[in-house]
Amino acid sequence: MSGAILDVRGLDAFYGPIQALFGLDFAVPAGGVTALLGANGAGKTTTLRALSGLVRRTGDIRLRGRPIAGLSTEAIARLGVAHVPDGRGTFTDLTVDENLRLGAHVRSDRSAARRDLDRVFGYFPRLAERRRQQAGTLSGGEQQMLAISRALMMRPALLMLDEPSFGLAPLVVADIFRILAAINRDDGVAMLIVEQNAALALDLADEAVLIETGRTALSGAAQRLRADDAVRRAYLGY
Amino acid sequence: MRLDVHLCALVGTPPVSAFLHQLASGLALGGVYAIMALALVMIFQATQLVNFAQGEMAMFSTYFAWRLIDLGWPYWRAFAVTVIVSFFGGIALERIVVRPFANAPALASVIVFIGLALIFNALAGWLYGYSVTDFPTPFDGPPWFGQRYLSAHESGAILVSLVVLAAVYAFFRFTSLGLAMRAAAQNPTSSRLLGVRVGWMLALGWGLAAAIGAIAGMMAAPIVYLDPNMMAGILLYAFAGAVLGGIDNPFGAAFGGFAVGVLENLMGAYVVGSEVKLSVALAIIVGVLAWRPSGLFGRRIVARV
Amino acid sequence: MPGPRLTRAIATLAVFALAVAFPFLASGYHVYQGAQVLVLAIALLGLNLLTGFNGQISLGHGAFFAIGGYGAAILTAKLGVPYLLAVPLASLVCFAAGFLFGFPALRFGGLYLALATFALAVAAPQILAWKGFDAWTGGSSGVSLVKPHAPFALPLTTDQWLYFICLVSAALLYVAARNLVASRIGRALIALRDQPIAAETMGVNAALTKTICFGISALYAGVAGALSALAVGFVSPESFGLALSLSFLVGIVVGGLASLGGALFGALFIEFVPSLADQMSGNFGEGAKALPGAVYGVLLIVAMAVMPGGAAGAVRAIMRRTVGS
Repeated sequence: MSGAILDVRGLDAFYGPIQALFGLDFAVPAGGVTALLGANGAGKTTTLRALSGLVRRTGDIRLRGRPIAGLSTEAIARLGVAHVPDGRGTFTDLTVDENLRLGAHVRSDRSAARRDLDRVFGYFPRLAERRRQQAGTLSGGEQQMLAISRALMMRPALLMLDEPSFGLAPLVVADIFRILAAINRDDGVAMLIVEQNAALALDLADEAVLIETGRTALSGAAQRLRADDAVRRAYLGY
Repeated sequence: MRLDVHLCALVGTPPVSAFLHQLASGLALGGVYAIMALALVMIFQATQLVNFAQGEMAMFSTYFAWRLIDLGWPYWRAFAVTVIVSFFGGIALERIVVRPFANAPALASVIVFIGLALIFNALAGWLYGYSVTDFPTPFDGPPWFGQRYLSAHESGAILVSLVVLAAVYAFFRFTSLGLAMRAAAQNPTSSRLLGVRVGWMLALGWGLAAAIGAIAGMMAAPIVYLDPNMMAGILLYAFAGAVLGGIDNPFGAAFGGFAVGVLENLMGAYVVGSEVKLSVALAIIVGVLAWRPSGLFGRRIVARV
Repeated sequence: MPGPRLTRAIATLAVFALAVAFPFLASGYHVYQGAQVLVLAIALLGLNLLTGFNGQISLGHGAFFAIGGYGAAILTAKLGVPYLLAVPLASLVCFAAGFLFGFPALRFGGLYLALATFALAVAAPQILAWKGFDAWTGGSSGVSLVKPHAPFALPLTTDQWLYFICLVSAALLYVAARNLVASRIGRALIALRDQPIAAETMGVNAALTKTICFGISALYAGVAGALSALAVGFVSPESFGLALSLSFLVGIVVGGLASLGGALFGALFIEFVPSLADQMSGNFGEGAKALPGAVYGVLLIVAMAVMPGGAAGAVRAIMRRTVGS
């Protein structure tokens, strides 16, 4: 596929001797959003972890055409893949400010990073109010906002989000997805989003991939998946 | 163990001023314990392990400085070069010897640390011999500020420890490298996802700990004299200080180091006698573990075994 | 081809037969050294119960060895207790000391135990030399005791007699350790090492089990210390420093963690490496003093890296290849 930020072909992943993913194929178009859907344990989180090099994986993974399957987690992050992990990966003992500064750790453009800080505070004004607070004292929703902001501080080419709605109140979830849509629209950040809540994810996504027991069950335009009867019954619940 | 030699000059001084003198000179060695404790905590925070070789590494660095001074180098140049060499030595040690055991059980790491301690001790004995040697101090001359409780070296040692503490604080608080090191210790996976090279942060921690240890050794040596076993007692007091203050809290540990220094001196002079001063450290460690296991300023104990 | 079980039994018997014959074949000094090896092997058995099987590290077993040694010396020399009674009494004192010491330290896991026992090892010589205990411990000059002679006019020298006392003790304690490891308690010890949370969920009282293990381990060290005091005829603070504790650790690592048979090999190793270094001082001068430390240190690291099973593990692997297949 041309114009893809991320192109994945035949992705296998392993936990020790146990294979968890079997030849996944999917792509994230430039400036687009791809949603990974599936039941618990289908391999959605594993897919993100495999892309980040947190689990052993084989296959062809290309970021802007450059193969990254052999690179370390740190190197992949430095190429512009921002992964917001499940559980949000908050540095609980550090302040909100320090968490955000860590997002810009690999950047050398200090003044641009400072402008980005203002930008994320524009998206999430509540974080600005709590800059000096210990991140561990934030609410779940605020920690999710912090995790997204920290990832945005990397100026990523691709933002990977692992269940941003997990454990949050519906109003907070709606808020976060509205802002994600704005980030995608205004800044053109491509996103790969893993979500239990398929309806939410399909609203945001251009493309969607349905994973079942580590294999691609279905993939295509988000609209098309939403219309699919099987998907609707199993994941959208109507 | 020569920890008590400097006390001998006290015979015949009036009680109050003798007490103040004990207190003050406790602070001098306490500063050494404090920065050793800081070095221990630095590695503990990143790995949940205590480096039993820290003392012998510091002793070896001190011998290195002694050799440079012996060659006619000016003190401060030898000091600086020793700190730098120790820093890179610490990094090399982590990458070559410690790294392969990163995923081994804690027991294996402790055994490897003991192995390192034995090797450094033997290496120093082989290269420099086992006889006890004087070590110079850059703080010669009359006591500072016209007081009579602290020798010039003791004042200087306290000053140096405070400078080290302040520098370490500033490094971790204000630099982005320091921030990355704290992040890597706290949440390695999350740090890697932000592009932080966690493995290098660990190595850097070892480098810093080795450099701080070198300073501790060079400040202690004029007081306890230089020999391959000079650091065993000091490391023990540093442990006691770290456990007392809280081994997961750098400044608690440093405070603990000062407290142990004072306690050791006062107990040695007035309660148990200087021959069994080391037991004070033992009592502190066991007592703290029994009554307040996370130390005065620690949060809670997380052990890996 | 005999099965591995039988091979093992034959090997054990052969070692035992050799050990019985040894004092009649060797010179007096070598018999004395043989007794030292057996004494060390007893201490290593005890430390291995703690470290190898229960996963708890002690850097201070030299202190319990010292308590056993001083106990035996004071009981026989100052209180006139017969030596055959003094050894078990001294080791019971060690059990109590180990139990009491282990209790606070063990509650917080291996690292804190390592710290506390390290402190114990460093402080022990100072405490033993303390003036307050002078009347009992003889301060820094220590306590002398009379080496026991063979009873019933047995045609044995003192060294030979002591050797046999050590041999019988070592054999009994080896069998006891084997039975302990195979028992319910042994399984609990291993479970606490490998799966502490699961073991506690299954109803193992972790603190109590670990503390008892520490006590038993100290008891072994105490028997060893008491026998050593009888064999040497003398105890003094300098013999029980940090170096002794660390050499125990070297012994169990070289012999093999969680291997009781490895204790003998470990004991041979820590008994003879230092004297080997003495012999080599002709070539190396004063630097030879550094040799045991260097060898110990390198071996600890290498053993952890390439043969975590120690010598026993290596033997087992070779046996499996030649016999088992």
